Amino acid sequence: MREIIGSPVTTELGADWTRGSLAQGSDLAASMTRRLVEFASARLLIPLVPGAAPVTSLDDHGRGNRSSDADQIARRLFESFAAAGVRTLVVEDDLARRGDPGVGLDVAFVGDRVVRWANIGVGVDAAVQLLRAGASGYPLNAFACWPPSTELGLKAGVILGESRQTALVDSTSAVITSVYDAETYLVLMSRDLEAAAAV
Amino acid sequence: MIRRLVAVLIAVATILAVPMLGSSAVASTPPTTAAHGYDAVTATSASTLEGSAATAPRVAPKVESIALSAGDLARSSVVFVAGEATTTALPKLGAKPNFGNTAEAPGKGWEWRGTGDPGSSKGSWYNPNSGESLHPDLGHPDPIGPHYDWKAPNGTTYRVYPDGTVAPK
Repeated sequence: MREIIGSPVTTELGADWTRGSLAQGSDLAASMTRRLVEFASARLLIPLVPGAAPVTSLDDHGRGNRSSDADQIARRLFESFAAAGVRTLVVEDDLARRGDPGVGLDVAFVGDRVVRWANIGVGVDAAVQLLRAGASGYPLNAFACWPPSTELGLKAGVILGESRQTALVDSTSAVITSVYDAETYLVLMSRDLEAAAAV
Repeated sequence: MIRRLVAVLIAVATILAVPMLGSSAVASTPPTTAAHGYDAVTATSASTLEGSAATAPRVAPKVESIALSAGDLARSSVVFVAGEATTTALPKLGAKPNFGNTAEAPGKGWEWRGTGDPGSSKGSWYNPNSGESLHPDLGHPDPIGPHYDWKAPNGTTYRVYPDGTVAPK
């Protein structure tokens, strides 16, 4: 049975917002922009309220949505992604840079930008936590990818070259950004993921 | 101003509600450890840093509020709705965000990172040692109003208001 997770927004609206977020990211994020035309649906991770007016604008003003609610919806979404075969979530840290003392060990780099990843599969806790904590809030650029992290070449300390960045972009099935003062998330999904996840 | 008005209403509600609280409710517990300014270490889920009890359990309000307390009223640390007593650890913000001049670093060891000028809306103050960030959002419209977005070392995000109130997002 198909479960609607989050609140649908038009793909055009979602793509516009996502484009703005990606423009503030790394080269990896910039490369992701070319995939946006392939994405078929957008969801705002707020509870779907029957009869509520459709979301017609996305901005950075808080709406009083609890981030914990968004995290719960993200959990359900990641569980459906996992069932569909998505295996890795990659998050760009918008502020940390290579060489920062507090950056940690389990990180990879795109130029001097820091990227973190979490496996999606048996559990999704790490992915939910990474989505919340992997960046400062806005811009948040996160990518759900089909292959496991090892196939994407994500290893501690590795610098992702152009070919690995291209492979990551090509294998991305959803782009997740933050919205409403980072209270919640916007998810832009590819056609194949939407069909496979049945969300 | 609106938040102060909300705080007044909450305080009135507190006075009315406290006598009706059950035995499990803990009300108006005096702080066991003085907490000053931005150096508080523990607080309720939405509290001012000044006057927040370090370890005292509080009654979790059932009414969601952006910022429950403001100014002197906050220092009374009263609670207003019966519920389960909870204590939420609030990470220590070892910095003082400047609401008068966002271009000024909130403390030693903080750097501006972003595409905009220091203190602008495009970027954040960042502590490369702790991973914390403070993003100035002083133009945020009501009812949330001006604030800094604080990402704590554990990754939890809060809003820090000019009166010192810290509220989880």
